[in-house]
Amino acid sequence: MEDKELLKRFKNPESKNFAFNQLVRKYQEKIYWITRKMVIDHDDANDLTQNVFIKVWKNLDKFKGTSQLYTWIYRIATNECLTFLKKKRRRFFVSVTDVENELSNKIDASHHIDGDEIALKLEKAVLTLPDKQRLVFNMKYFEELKYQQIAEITDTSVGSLKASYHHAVKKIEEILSHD
Amino acid sequence: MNTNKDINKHSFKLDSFEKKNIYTVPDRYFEELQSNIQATVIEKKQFYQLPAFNLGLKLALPTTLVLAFIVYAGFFKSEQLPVENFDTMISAVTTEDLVAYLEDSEISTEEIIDNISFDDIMLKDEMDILNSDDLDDINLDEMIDDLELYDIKI
Repeated sequence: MEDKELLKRFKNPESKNFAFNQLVRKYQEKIYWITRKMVIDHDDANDLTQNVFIKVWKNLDKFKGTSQLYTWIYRIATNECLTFLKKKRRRFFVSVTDVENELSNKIDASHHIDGDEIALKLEKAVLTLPDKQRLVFNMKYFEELKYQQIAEITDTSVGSLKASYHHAVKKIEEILSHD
Repeated sequence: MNTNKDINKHSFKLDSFEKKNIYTVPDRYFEELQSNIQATVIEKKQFYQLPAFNLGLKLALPTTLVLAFIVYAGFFKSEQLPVENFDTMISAVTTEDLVAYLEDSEISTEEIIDNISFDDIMLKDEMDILNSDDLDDINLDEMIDDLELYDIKI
């Protein structure tokens, strides 16, 4: 179902639940994978994904349509991820590298991870990036979103994103070349 | 076609790397996620509509904000401020300023809520609801959003 139709049906009390179910079905996997790649742990990603859709349910009536619906939902998801990681550091008074180590350990310990050595090393190298840069890298490299789409989601200029992605790629290549 | 094994490990190039998703999910996860989300949405909707919750928020939020301000004034301003100016200072601080301070402060929502005593206004059953896991997930921003959403006047 097209987003316009989803929005129209959501605003109608009689079809609101149906429209919401369709919206969840349409976007749940994309949102889950965005969050999973940021927080690594399946249970955390599950919680965040559900939080995203709860916020969508509560606020979709206020959505003005100045951006695409998927952009709006993605933005909620990225904000949830960044807030989650920020709270993790703040609550436990840990430094950036401690959170990075914790996430890296989750890659080693999780039952829900399956990859060859290089793929695992790549994921750990990505974890060395600052959160916002990591988010941009994930959206560009793994999700294959266009710069313009990422710009709308993150409210950043295309030029800044290109620079950020370029630096991220160079850093990761350097880490893996020396590993 | 280049595979990961063919890559010269001394000169790694991301472009030549075969993309792979290393993360997996439990069986039937996405089939069940939709119904889990729907159940959570319905559960939260019912929770927010409880009269006890609404009454609690009406009374708790101003108390929370005043308490936060007292902590702030006590730590940072008490040495500088004569007692007779304290009331003037409190009345000059807007709710928006307090909320903005809380957003930037190290005080967590849980710490604020922990310092509020509902004993005088709540029955035991209502206290159990407030102490449930549902409230832990709500941060202060959402509490304020919900107050506006449900047209509750403070």
